[in-house]
Amino acid sequence: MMALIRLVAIIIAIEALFYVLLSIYIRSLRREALEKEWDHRHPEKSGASPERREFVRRSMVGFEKTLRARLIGWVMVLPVVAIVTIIFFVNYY
Amino acid sequence: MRYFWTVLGVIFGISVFLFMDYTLPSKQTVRITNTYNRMTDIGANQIFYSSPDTGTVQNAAGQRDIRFIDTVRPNGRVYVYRNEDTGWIWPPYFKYDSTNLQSEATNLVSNAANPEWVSVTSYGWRISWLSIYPNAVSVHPVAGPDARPFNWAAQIVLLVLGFLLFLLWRMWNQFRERTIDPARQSVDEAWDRLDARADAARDEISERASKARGGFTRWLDSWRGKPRR
Repeated sequence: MMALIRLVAIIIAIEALFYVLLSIYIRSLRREALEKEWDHRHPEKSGASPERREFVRRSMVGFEKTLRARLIGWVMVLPVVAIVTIIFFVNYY
Repeated sequence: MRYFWTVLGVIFGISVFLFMDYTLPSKQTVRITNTYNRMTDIGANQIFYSSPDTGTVQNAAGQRDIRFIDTVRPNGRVYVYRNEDTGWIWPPYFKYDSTNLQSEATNLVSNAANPEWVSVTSYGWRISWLSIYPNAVSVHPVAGPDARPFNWAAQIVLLVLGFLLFLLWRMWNQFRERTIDPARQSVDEAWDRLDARADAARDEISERASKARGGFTRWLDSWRGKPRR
């Protein structure tokens, strides 16, 4: 029983780590895309500026609710699915 | 120093390869000749057996009653598997049906006259001088000694690991591009500003000094006699 609890704890820790890393990563990708979008729309004001920062900040509002951001939640599910699949194939197939 | 890093890198690569080779499942077509259990001494080679709390129960003398599966390969050489639970710990096979596996293997026992070929999936190495055995994970009958079922499990695990490595590499690049490089750049710029300010301050001081010296020299000159006519 202790072994199972330890496994669950380790899995949750690893999943949480990847969840955090992935959410930072896709935020960063989105911000970069927004900055490029701004530079594309305002070629004369390209480069870092307070206006661009404000544009990126406003565009990022509500980002956690988008499909892309929600898909990261699968990182908590997929490893468990993989483990259940392994258990099935090793013990019951 | 370069040789040191090269050697370290080569050692690291070999370790990763050996680790994968030990842990990933491999398939082998064999003929089962015997299944039994035997009291086995476990000593320094303990790392190559299941963890004590999940595998076979270990007695006070450090012995376990481990199940074994004797097999013969198509080339006539023998190969011995152990059959132990891995439980919920490393390596992550989550195997807890070793009793069922043993009875399946027993059901597939055959002799040379009337061979029944099976594909055994296992992980680990058979090294006789260390007394270590690969752990059998599953047994399936196959058509003949030449059957080589594709090792899906190992390929999928390698693909997933490769994808994870790629993802970590992309994440690191993004982090470096968007966080480390700008920080380094702003430190550089701050340093340049500091440098420029120091330069300006030095210039101003020397200018003031020369001005002051000019004033002093003028004052000294006022004590001198007037130029003679």
